[in-house]
Amino acid sequence: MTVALLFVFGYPVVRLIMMSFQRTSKGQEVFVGLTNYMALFQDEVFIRAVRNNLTLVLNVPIMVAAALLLAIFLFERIRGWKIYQTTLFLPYLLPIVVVGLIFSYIFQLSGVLNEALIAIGLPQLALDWLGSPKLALWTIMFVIIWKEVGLGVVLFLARLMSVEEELFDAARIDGASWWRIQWHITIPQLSTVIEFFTVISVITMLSWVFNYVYVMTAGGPGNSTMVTELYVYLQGFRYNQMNLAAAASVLILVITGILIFVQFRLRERAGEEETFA
Amino acid sequence: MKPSDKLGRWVGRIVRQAVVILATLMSLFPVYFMVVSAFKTRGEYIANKWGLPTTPILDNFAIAFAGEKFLIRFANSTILTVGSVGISLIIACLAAYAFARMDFPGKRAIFNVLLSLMVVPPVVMLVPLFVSMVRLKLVNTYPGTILIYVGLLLPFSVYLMTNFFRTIPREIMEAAHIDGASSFGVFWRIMMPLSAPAVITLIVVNALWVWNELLIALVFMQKDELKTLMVGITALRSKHYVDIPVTMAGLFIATLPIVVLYMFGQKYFIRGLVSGAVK
Amino acid sequence: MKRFLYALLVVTLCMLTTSPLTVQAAEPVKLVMWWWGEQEAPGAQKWLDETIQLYQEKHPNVTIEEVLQSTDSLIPSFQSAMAAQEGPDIQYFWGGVWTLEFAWGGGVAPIDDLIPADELAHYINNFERTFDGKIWGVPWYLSGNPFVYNPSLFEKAGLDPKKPLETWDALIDACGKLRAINVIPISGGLKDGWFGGWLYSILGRQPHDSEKDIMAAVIGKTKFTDPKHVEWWKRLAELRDAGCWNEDINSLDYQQGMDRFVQGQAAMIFGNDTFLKGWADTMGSWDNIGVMLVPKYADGKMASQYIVTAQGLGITSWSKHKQEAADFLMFMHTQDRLNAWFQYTGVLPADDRLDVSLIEQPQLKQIYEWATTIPGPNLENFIPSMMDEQANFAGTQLLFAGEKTPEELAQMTQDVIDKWASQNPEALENFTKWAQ
Repeated sequence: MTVALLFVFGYPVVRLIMMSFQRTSKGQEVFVGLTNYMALFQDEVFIRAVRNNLTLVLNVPIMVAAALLLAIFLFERIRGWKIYQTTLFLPYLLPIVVVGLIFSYIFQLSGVLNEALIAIGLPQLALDWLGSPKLALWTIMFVIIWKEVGLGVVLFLARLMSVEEELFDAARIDGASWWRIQWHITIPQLSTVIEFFTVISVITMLSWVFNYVYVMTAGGPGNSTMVTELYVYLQGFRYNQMNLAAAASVLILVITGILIFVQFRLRERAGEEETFA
Repeated sequence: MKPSDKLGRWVGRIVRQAVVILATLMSLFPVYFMVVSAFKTRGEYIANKWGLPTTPILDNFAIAFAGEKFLIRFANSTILTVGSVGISLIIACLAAYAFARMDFPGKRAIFNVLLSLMVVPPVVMLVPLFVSMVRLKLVNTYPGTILIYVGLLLPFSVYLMTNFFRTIPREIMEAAHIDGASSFGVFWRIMMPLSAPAVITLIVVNALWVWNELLIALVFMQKDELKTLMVGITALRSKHYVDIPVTMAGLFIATLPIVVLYMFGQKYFIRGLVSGAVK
Repeated sequence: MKRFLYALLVVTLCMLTTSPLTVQAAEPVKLVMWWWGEQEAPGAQKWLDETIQLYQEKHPNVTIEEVLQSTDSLIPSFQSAMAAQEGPDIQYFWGGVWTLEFAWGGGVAPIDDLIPADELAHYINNFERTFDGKIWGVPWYLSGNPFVYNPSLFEKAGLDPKKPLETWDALIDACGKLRAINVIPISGGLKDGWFGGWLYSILGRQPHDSEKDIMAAVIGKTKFTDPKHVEWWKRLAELRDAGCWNEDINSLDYQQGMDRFVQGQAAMIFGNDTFLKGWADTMGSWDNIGVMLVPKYADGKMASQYIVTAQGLGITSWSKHKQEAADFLMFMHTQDRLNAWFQYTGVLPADDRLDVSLIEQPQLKQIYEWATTIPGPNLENFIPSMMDEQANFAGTQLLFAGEKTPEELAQMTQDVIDKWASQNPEALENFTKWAQ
């Protein structure tokens, strides 16, 4: 394991950190201190990218809540729950490239969705979903949630099915309301799975959104859907500024590192699980 | 039982069905759109975007298939996926066992570093990785690319397995030790069978990630005979840009294997997720 | 093992008996070529396969391995190779800054000493690859930007299909007439960005005399907020307000916008001449395609030029076989190969030795004439790619979304350039040297 990790992370991270303090001058790498970092903080596009990633992260609760709700409904054995379970998981299986392409066609101004909206007499809702700077990020977020929520549903449902029925029965006999049952039994029983799904969703929103954005909007319109990964990609591969790309990468590492650290600290404090002493 | 209760329950049921049906329709629609479009002529696609095709045609598949090495691409994707998921799973389980159940110096620090590596976007690593891959002559090879994927998958995998192993009560292990089982015996006979849900989740999440990965596959598997399915589809898109039905047919072909696999494996997948769960 | 010993014996014998010169001649050479172009000139792959085969027959000691890159991997792969100083011997480059940035980065070798001057004299448009008195690559084929229209739709709208639009007012007027018969006047797609850069090159040029005027603003001698640089944003807004464009321009990729024209829903498009043959094939005939120069709104020298750039190839600085690579590039420029290129792709090779009688379609004849008599630079090749992306791509999208005024967009361009200059002093230095 150490070999693979050192190879994939160790050397690159060290090199990135070095590069982030340098600049190329006459073919030589010259130490320039924090210049690259200062440049990033003054770059509106970078700030925008960070903000967009954080906006995406803030919507993780929506995704978790949606998955939870659907899982609970299915768990209550509504008619046809098995079929629903299968179909809800389907989007998670589809390649992001495929999903992105299909949704680009659907969300076009003259696409299927808007044709349908106009047909049912709601032309005022037929908006330019991916072409408007105000809407595009939300549209992308919708697509991410659409694709990823199925994993949550299946994980939650599977966990619920292995909970002993008596717990629920006892609560029902005691006359506990639906909300009380969810709050006092379902959610505590699911806590570890919820945590897992939250972690994986946060990672998705922070560092695996490149493909969605690249296929659906390429960061536009007008940088409104710029995300940090795309920023690094553009700096490094389009603008030929490897050192700035490196500095941005290091900043992303630091920011995400802090976020993850905070999350695990919170969990430790909550004391849900045994931790390293 | 009061009548209002009955009414309330009835409303509740309707609401639930409605929500779930709505969500299901939403998950199905894009797939439906892809499938029906793949069977339409270009003219019909423009005139009738969301209905069923009036006279389904298969030409689009023939065009999408023509000159595309779907089988080779499929094999490449499979090799990379199976290789990297398999290797990372084995390493992750062993490492997680150590993190969860053994004591060694610096354990906590190493684990924390690992956690923060979980969120490193792969794009960040591209150039330095390429440099080391070239030095080791590993560009355009399966082992090289698998090595990268394994490295990228490991932090997350170790995190998931460690977390899961920790939920397995120590008493079970201790009982086994008292019965004379070795460390590896405990791991193999007790921990692993109990961990089926976590292992299955990990396989599914990781396999889909590798299967769908684009950037690394693009840069590290450049030769035509080494390209993966996803790279192939992306190229297909720019090749048949004017012909959306053909693109859809190509997407359909590319999606089919994994969906079929899921349909067949679903029973075991769900059963596995439910089976070993511990409280 | 036996074979190995045998080989060893042969090698030893060779070393003992033959002169160094013959050893060198028999030495096997492997050239690796990373390229792109099948995407915009379908048929290129077939031509290249054939060319390599012919070349290998002539030079049995040389093997050439070609790797067709995808649009997404072309630059990342080469940049990675450059960082490792190992990779292809021959690499595909777009013109101008797309070549020179890699030359500045130390990835490309100048070809002056590898290719004789009388050979170079035949190459078209290689000024784009000239910097510091050296030439950093070889042009392959030409890619120009005609304003394409559909004559039958023009006729329906009561416009003269024989006499294309000449003035800006005529263009605005034509938009109205085409709208009246329910045809999209000009179609485009901005979602993937690239078309915003084309628009800049096509419209932004008109008030200026040469690419040096643009580069002067890039290096800070003038400003992008000067009236001459603001003008094109205003004209684009004018076209937008006159209903010249498809309404969904912001939610389509360029290629999807192009599809509107190919399907006969749109009457005009800012096209690329490498696409023309493909369009004619899809539309069933060349009759639905007419070409014109962009109507003028200003009278800088560039306003009456035909935009053309040469897509090309370069030899990498780390290649161990530079001369052999150059020899292959020259082989690509032999007349037989040039003619075959045109026949396979319908795209003009960047060489004046093409047998012009092969060009049959009047449209392509017209383009060849423009490309050789009134060629003008593609401005996207003379600005930093950051400006293209963050000012032109993003700016056109914001203009069509109605988010920003022309003046604000000009300011935005200036801000991007200021940022670029401060982030990348080395590139600024190179640009300054280049702009002279």
